[in-house]
Amino acid sequence: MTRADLPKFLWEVTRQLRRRRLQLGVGDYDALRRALTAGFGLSSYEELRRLCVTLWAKSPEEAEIVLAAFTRSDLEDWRLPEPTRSEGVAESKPSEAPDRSGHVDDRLPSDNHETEGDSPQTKPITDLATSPPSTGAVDRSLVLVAQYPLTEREIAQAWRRLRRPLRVGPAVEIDIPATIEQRSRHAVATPPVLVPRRRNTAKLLLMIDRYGSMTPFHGYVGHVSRAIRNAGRIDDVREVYYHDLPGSAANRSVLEQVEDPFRPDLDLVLPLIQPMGDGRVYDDSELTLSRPLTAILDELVEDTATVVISDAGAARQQFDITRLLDTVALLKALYSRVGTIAWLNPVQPENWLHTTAAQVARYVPMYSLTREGLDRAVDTLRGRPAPVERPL
Amino acid sequence: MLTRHRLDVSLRFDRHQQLPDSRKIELPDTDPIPDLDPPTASVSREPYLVSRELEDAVNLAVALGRPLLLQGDPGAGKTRLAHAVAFALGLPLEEAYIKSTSRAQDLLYVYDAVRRLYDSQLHRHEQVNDRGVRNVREYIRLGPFGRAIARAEHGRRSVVLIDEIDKADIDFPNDLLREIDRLAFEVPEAPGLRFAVPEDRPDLRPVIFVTNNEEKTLPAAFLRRCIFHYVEFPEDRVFLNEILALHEVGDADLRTKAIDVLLRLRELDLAKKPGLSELLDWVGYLHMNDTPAGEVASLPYLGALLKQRNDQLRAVDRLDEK
Repeated sequence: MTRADLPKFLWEVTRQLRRRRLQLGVGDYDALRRALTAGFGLSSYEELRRLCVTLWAKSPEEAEIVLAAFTRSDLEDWRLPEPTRSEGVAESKPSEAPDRSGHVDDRLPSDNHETEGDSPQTKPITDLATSPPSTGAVDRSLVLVAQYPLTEREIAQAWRRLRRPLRVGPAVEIDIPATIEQRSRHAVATPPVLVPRRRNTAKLLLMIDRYGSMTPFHGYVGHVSRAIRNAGRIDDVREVYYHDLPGSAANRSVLEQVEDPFRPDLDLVLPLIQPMGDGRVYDDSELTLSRPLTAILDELVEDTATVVISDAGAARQQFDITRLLDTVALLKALYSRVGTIAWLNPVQPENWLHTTAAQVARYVPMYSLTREGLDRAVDTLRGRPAPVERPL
Repeated sequence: MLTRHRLDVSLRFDRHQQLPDSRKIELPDTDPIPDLDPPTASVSREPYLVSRELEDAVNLAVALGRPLLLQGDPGAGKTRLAHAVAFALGLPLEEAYIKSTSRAQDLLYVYDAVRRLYDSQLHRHEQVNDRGVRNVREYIRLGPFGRAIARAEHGRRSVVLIDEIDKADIDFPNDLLREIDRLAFEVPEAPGLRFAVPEDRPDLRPVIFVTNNEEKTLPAAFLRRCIFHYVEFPEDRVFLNEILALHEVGDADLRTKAIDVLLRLRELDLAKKPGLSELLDWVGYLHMNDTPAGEVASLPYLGALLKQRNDQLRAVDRLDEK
């Protein structure tokens, strides 16, 4: 298939779609070509558009994007392949084409006459402007689907790898090696050995910072957490919300023991910081249904993967030693219950420098909210060692 | 060239086709599949009103030999479409209802190792001929997709419904990719046993419907192979009216009033908006009870429409206000 085979506007459409990260490949083009050969999408431009939506879009949001891309592209080109295919269209085309060009020829000179005739006159406006521009109709050329740095599919791909297959439930699967082994050992007929099927028993706790400096990221973080929830067969995804931090460290007085108040780390007093005991987290993103932090901690089991999504002070470009102390207290509380924690920071790593985030990243693996960051976060949660400067 | 790369325009689903109330269609769920004169069963017509877009999507899926992935709210009629198309085309419908423990292989075949082991221990293998424990084929039961492929070997076509694919494990769709591409599979437990749709016969490819309730994101590689259609709730009064009429709700006044109520309910901020299946249940019951059209506005038998207490209270509250 050469480039010339498809009308030009399709390339424009593809370019737009790929920019919206709809990964169209040769196979998708081939599907379109074969569908056209079979007679689909030939009768009108509308049909073609619908055909492409059916072939290329895999969700209502993507359908919206494909539609918009078509509305924005130049439709005249879709006359090229028609005559070879369907008769009805081929007939109408010759009659329409001269007609159209005739119109254009007529209109251009007459337009000129009108403007020439009208130009000396000025009409005073007596009334108020008749009507404001209408907003009643939906402009299909606008894509109203939110576009985030990562698509739902990309997030899902990263999180699919978080799995912990365990055999749980009723024993329904035959364990052939065990059965053979048992029979050869006993040398008499024994019942087969049955085992339960494998299931993904991975558990995940998402702790999401809300409001304040996280407000600009609400949309994206919501998108990410939704995608994670829908992604794989993670057995149990739990989301809790808090603002800045669920609580404060029990003994703020340790700060007095920091010898150099201008040295931005807590390494010297680290062993003295108590795990955060009293704090409150919220079940809803609006922070109305609160519950004690300890209730959440008590639900955690050793292998619950824990993810904190927060800017850790990076968004405001601040360093705050009290916040750092409280964060360490929270991390200590979490590490006392679970093995793996990953911190996702929606702020780009360049901007962590000289902020609380840079210090927090010395104690806990912190990744940016990008594809690579998600992949590495999942690696960490799967148990790959993530070296940090000062493990807690 | 893989079978699926060939076009098939031999079969066309026509939504305006006049269909009898019931017709004899080959019995699905038979194993092994008879070569000639398969048993038939009488299947009654599925009342289903197909929109133009949906008709096109079905025909496109048939022509390209790709599964049609149907997505939409629960109760929008995704599953019923497969029944309606199978009836209209006169093809047997092989249904696979996916459970959380389903594996992709179950769609193709199930090897009953346990029964074979018991049989061998109880010395049933002393039976003569090719029956008994030595014949592994006796212990292989074809699954719905497997039967459709096997039926194609006998020159007959099937419709396959893979219902609620999002309920299965995440590997499920990916494990099916090869079989969907090649429309062939081997049974490793029985060396040499292989089923395949003849490669030069795209007109024997099974028509595959996959429904998805959007509970989980499906893998991109699987989505790429599908034709996608989103079944929306028809907000159009005329269309809704036709649907109700098709489901033998004869009272035109009742239909209009019920549609009024439903559309108004859907405007409210409810936890679960009533869909098409709820409407059909509700109106069907109202019709059966000969409820006068005037009483519909007072929301009798609301439990058929709204399944949550808060939704019911809100609906009664709001609709009385007006």
